[in-house]
Amino acid sequence: MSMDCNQTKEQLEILIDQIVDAKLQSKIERGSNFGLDSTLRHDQIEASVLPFNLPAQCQEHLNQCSDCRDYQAASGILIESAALLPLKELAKADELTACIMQQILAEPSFAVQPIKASNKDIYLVTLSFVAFAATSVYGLQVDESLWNIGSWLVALIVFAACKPLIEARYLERNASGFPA
Amino acid sequence: MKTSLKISRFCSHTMWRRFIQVAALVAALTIFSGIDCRVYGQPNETLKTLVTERLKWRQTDDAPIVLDNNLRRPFLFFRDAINQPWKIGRLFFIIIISASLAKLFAVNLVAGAQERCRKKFWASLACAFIYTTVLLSLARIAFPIEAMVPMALGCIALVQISYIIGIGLGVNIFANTIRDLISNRFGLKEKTAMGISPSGWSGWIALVATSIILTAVSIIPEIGRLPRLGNRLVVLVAIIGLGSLISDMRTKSRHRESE
Repeated sequence: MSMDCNQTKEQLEILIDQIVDAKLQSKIERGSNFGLDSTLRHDQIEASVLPFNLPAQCQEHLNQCSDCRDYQAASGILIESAALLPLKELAKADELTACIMQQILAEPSFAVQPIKASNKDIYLVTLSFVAFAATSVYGLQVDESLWNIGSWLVALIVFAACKPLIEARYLERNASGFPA
Repeated sequence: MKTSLKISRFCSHTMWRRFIQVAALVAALTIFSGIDCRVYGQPNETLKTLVTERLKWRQTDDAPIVLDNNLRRPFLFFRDAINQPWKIGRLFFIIIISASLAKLFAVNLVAGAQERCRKKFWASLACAFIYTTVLLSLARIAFPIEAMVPMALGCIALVQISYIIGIGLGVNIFANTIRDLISNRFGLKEKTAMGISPSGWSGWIALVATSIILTAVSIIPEIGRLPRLGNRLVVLVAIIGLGSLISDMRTKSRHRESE
């Protein structure tokens, strides 16, 4: 059974990840022995790629599909170019992730802030509440109507005080990176 | 194998756990439906006597069903209903039934409404206000025309059913909020991939506690000349539940159309 382009590209991505991980590990070991600015030669790159092979089906597809071959060639060039870059001080993966996340969260657009209602929402709720309250006092005396509307308004204010409690969990989830 | 181990394995099976929950709910409803809240103060009355009396009363009550004239003015009808003191036994019964049914059989509906309520609180309120006003206005317009009386009654029925569904959703929203707050405070998180798990007994305890709180809130009487503040707060819980549901359905419908 032959593989399609998407599956082949996925396999290539996995292979690239393995190669990159192996090379990073190798560079770190070299860096610890000979200094961090060491780079890899072409033969060393070939040697590091050798242990990783594509599945036979994938290879078969590559022989037939020019598009996937181009993708493979482009990935190869990318890896070679990246390998020529000098290795600077590399933090541990966890620390690096934490550092990046900290910087992202420090951005004003990502800071956890209470949800602000848009003007459209405010106008909408005001108008709808006025209509609702007006219909609820239909047929009453003015004095009685005002007290009735007042009672609804007080209830709405008390109820609106619960809004931050209801939103708290949503904000917390957003802050922890869960999708909304 | 020990009997206790067998029982624990039996109870841990998801299907059986759901069955036990439904059976417990049915049993609770059966007991509640036999109790008349008017006789709470008479400790000597047994449950059997109460049920027998109730059945007798049903058999002798053969008055014809007549359309109440007050119903022809839906705004007045609903205002009077809100301004009256409600029987707490019946209110608790209605709240707990609708909230339990929503929790058991409409998990996705509750989750959608909750997410919508948290994101768009004011828009959800507005949706329910508009929905109520439009339907009651339609009923008011339709009642004077005899041919449209069924539609008018249908509109009122729709409002009432919607509010029952709304209160179920609203209570679930508040129950989840209360449970989250307590879990965060005491570090009792049952984490899943998307946050705190909605299942488990903590969810049911929070649901019952919220229903009791809401029933207690309805007791708040008139304050000065402000009529029945407590009832209005209960109605607002139903409004937020209903509004969140409408808003969620509207958003999902828009997404489907855009796809």
